Amino acid sequence: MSEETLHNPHLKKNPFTVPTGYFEQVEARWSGQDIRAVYGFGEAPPREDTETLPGKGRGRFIRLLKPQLQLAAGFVLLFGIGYLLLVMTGRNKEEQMPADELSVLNEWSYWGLDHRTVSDLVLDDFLEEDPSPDMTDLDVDELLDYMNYPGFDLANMDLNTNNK
Amino acid sequence: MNSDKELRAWCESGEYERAFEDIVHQYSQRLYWHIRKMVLVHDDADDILQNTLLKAWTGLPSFRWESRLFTWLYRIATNEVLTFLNKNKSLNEAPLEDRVDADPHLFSGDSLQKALQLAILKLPAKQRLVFNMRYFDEIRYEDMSRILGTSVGALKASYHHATAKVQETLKELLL
Repeated sequence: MSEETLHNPHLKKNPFTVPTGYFEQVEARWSGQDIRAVYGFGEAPPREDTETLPGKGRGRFIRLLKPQLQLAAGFVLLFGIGYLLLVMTGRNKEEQMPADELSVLNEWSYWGLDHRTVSDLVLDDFLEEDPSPDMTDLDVDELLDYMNYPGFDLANMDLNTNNK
Repeated sequence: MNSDKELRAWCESGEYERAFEDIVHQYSQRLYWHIRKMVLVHDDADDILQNTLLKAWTGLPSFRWESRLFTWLYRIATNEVLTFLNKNKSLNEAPLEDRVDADPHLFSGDSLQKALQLAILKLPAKQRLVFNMRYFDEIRYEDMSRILGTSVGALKASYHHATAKVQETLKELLL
């Protein structure tokens, strides 16, 4: 068996045959004006630029990975939504704080108390407990904590401190 | 026999039946042999040819004539062949090697030609396609590249490997 066997022109000849008249039958099947009626027309056209070979390279790889990719995308989406919610609620919380402070101060204003009055009251109270000079620098948070102290009643305080 | 230009003109003027009759006349034999060399059995080749022609007929209105008609038709036929072979494999049908003798009256080759067919059957399906298209049909690599959607370099490498394997198998078979 020589290396040149494949160059033998005899091997290049077609070794297969077809039944007699086969190609004439094929042509007859697809000729005439009724092929549109028999075979339909313009349905599910294979497009020249999108026709791909089955199981071909990248397409096949993507098809194999598709379920995993979909799952991963689902997780990413869920984490993304969760993270967004966390960020949004965190931001709202931060924005809520000054609003809460303002609403309390507004409430005090409603009861005829100004910031200084409350501050004085609070300071007096604290000074009774601990007359440390450091306590004079109370900030708003401490004030709020104090105002939320159980039993503290703005209405009573109003009555008690009403100038009238 | 009409060129792509004339066939296109017929299609654009709505004469699809006329264009398709000419397409069948021009290409059905070439398509059939392309298919037959891959599936070996005439009945299978006939079914695949009919599917190929049906897809070509239904797709003709959307064919944009940007590629050659021959390339498009071969591409459809190749798709059909590979789909058939995959289905055949998954259905555990008899291997193609056993089918060479399925219709002996339709195989007129001698023992050397039969050995060559058996050697080709040892190749993976796509390498077999490349080998058949180049060895028997002498299709240019550039055209094969358009039909199979593979680079010319990859096709040349594939053909080179296929030839070496076929030679080797032939040696074993003819010892």
